[in-house]
Amino acid sequence: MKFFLRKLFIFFSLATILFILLLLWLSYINNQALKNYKTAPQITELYVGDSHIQLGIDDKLLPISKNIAKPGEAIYYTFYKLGPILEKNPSIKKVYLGFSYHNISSYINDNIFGTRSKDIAARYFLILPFQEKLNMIAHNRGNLPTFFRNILTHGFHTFFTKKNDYSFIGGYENNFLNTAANQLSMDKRIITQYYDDGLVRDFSFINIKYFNMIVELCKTRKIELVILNTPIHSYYKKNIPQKFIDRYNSIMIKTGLQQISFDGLQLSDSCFIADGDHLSEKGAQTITMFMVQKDSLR
Amino acid sequence: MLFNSINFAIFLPIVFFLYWFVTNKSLRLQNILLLVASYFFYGCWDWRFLLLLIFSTSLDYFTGSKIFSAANPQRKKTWLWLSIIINVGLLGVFKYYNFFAESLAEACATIGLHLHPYMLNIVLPVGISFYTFHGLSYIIDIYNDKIEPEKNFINYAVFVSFFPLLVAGPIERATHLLPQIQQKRTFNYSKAIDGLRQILWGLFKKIVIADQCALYVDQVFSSADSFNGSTHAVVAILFAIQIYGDFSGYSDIALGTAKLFGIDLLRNFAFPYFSRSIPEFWRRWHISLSTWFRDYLYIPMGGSKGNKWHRIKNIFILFVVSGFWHGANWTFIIWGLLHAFYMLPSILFNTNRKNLDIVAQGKVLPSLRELLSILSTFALVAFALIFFRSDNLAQAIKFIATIFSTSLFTMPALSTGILPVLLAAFFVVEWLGRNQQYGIAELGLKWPVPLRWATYYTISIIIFYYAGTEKQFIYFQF
Repeated sequence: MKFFLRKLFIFFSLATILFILLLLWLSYINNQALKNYKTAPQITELYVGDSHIQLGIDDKLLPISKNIAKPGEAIYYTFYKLGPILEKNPSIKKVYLGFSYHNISSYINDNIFGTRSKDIAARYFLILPFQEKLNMIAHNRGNLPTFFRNILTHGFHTFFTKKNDYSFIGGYENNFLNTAANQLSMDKRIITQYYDDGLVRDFSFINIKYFNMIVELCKTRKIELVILNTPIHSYYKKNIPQKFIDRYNSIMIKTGLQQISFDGLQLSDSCFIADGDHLSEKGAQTITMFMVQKDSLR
Repeated sequence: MLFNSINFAIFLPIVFFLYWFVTNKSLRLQNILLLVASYFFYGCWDWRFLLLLIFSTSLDYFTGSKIFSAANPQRKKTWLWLSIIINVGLLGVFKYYNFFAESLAEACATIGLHLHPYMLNIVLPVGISFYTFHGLSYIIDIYNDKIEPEKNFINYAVFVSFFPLLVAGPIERATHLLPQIQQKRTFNYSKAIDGLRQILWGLFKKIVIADQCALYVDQVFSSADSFNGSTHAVVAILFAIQIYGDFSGYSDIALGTAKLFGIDLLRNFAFPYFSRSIPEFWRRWHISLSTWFRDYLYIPMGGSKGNKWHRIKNIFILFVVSGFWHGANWTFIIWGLLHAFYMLPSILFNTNRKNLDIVAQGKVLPSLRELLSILSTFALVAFALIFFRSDNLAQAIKFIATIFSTSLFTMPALSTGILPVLLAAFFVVEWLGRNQQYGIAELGLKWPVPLRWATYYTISIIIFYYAGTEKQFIYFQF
C-alpha cells in the first residue's frame, strides 16, 4: 500500500508540477506579449471596453485610433490589460472607455466570478496578478477542466499567433449586416442584464471599483479618459430600471469625466442587432463617422 | 454523482482512504463503509429512491431466506414468485406503466374506443433495472440450489448496491460477487494499478470518444430534416461508436473502481466491434446482461434444445425482452427484434458457436474475409442502433429513409474536425489490445517508466482537454 501511495503521489505531484510550470511559462509568454504590445506609431487614441465598443467603433475609419475591446470584457479585466499597454505606448494620449448602464449591473459579475467566467476569465487569466489568478481558480473550482483547457488554449494562442493578435486584445469586428432590433429580444436582454429571478439586480461593485481604478490610472499617467456610452434602442433605454441610470449619472458627476453619450440618439431599428443593446454594422458605421467628424473638428 | 464528475474525483479517494486505513482491521466495518458510501452515492441523485432500493434489498434478502428454509417445493415456488412479482411489479410501475397505458389507449382508439388512462408523473429511479436484476439472480440461484442465502444483511446489501455497479451494472451474480464480499480483502498493488489504468481508459472512452461523437449525433438527431443521407449514415456510425464508448467506458470505470477495493466485477465488454458475426457480437456486448438473460430466461425456456422452430421462438422472446428491458418504447422492441432476425441465419445453419476465438489471433492485421465480416457485422449493429437512438418509430423510419435516398451519394454536411483522428487512434489501440481485458491493460507494461508515464500523461491531457461538461451516461436512463 505504501508503495502504491508513494507512486500515486509521485505521479500526481509530477503532473501538478509540470502543469504549474506550464502555467508559469505561459504566464510569462503572455505577460511579455502584453508588455511588448506596441500600437502603430500614429496611434494616439485607444478604444477599450466590451462588445459594445468592439461592435460599435470601426477603427479602420479612425487613423489615429485603435479599438482593442473584447466581448464580455468586464472593467476588471480592462484595468489589467490597459496598464501595461499604456506603459509601453507613451504615444497614447486618450482612452475611450466603453461604460454604460449594464457595466454597473451585477449581471457583469457573472463574467468575472460566475458561469461565464470559465470562458471569459480564461482569456485574461495569464495576465492577471498572482492573487487574482488564485481568486479566478477559486471562482471556477466547479469548472476547472473547462477553465484550464480554455486558459491553455488562449495561452498557446499567444505563443503561436502572429504579433499583437492575442486573445486578450480584441478589435473591431461586426458581421451583423441585415439585422434589426426587435422587442422580444430586447425584453430578453433587459431581463438578463437587469433582473435576477424577477427582482432588479444589485450593482456590480467590483466593476465600479475597477472603473475608479482606471480613472486613477489615467490620471496618474496623464491620459485623457473619455467615457463612451454607445447607442441603445429607445425601447431598451426606456426599460432600464431607474436605479441604474441614477447610479450611472452619479458616477459620471462624481468623477467629472468627459462623456460622449449616444444613449439618447434616435437611430433606426436596422442600426441595432436584435437585442437593441448592440450596434449592427450599419450602426457601427454611423457612430464611427460621428467620431471621425468629431476628430476632424478638433 | 457521475463517474466523470469532480464530485466523484473527491468521493472516491475519501472512500478509498477510509476503506484501507480506517476500517481495514474489520471486514464488517469495511462492508458497512461500502454500504454507507454506496447509499450516499445513490442518494446524490435522489434520496427518496434510496428507500426503494432499501425496500428491494430487504425484500430479496427476506424472500431468499424464506425460499431456502421452505419446507416443501410448493412453498419454495410461492416465495420465489412472490419475490419475482414484487420485483418485476416495481420495475413495471416505474418503468413500463405509462408505456402500457398509452399503448392500450392507442390500440383502443383504432377501434373507436377512446380511453384516457391515468398517467404516472414519476421519474425512473436510476439503476432500478440493474439492481432489480441483481436481486432476481440472487433469489433464482437460491431457488435452484446454486447458492445458500446470505445471512448477513450488510453483506447482501453491499452485493446489491456496491456503488461502482449500482446505477448501470455490470449486472452481478451472487455466485461471483457475494463470496468476495464475505471474504477479507487485502490490498493488491498490481490490481489497484490495473484498476487505475482501467479507470483512465474508461474516462478516455467516455469523455474523448463518446462525448465528442455525441456532439454530432445530438445535432443531427435533433434536426434531422436539415441533413442529407450521407450525414445520416455517418451519424449512425458515430452513434454506434458513441454508445460503445459511453457504456464500455462506464463499465471500465466501474471495474477499475471495484479493483481499487480489491473486488473483481464481471467483464461487460470484450471488443464487440471486432466481432465477425452477430452471435459473436452478443458474446462480447453487455456480457453481464446477455448472460443474465441466457441463464434466467433463455435456458429455462429450453434454450437451444428442441427443434429449430423452438429455438427461433426462444431467440425472438429473448431479444424482444432484452429490447424491452432497455426502455418502455417501441424503438427498443424493434431494436431487439432486428437482432433476433440477425440471429436467424446462425440458428438455421447452426453457426452460432463459430468465432469463439479472438479475431486474427497472433496477427497484426485481419484477413480480408475477417475484415469484411467485421465491417458487415458493425453495419448491421449500427443500423439497428438507429432505432435505439430514435425517440420514436417515425423518427427512426424517417432517418433510415433519408439514408437510403439519393442524397446518400452527396458529401456529408458535418465538419468533424479532429474527431476522425481520435477515433482512428482509439480503434488502433483497441485492436492492438483486443486479447486483453481492456484496450490499454498491458500497454507499455514492459516499457521504461518515463515512457509509460508519458503515455498515461498524454491520455490524461487528452481527457482533460475534452472534459468540462459532465455528460450523463446513456445507460443511466435504463
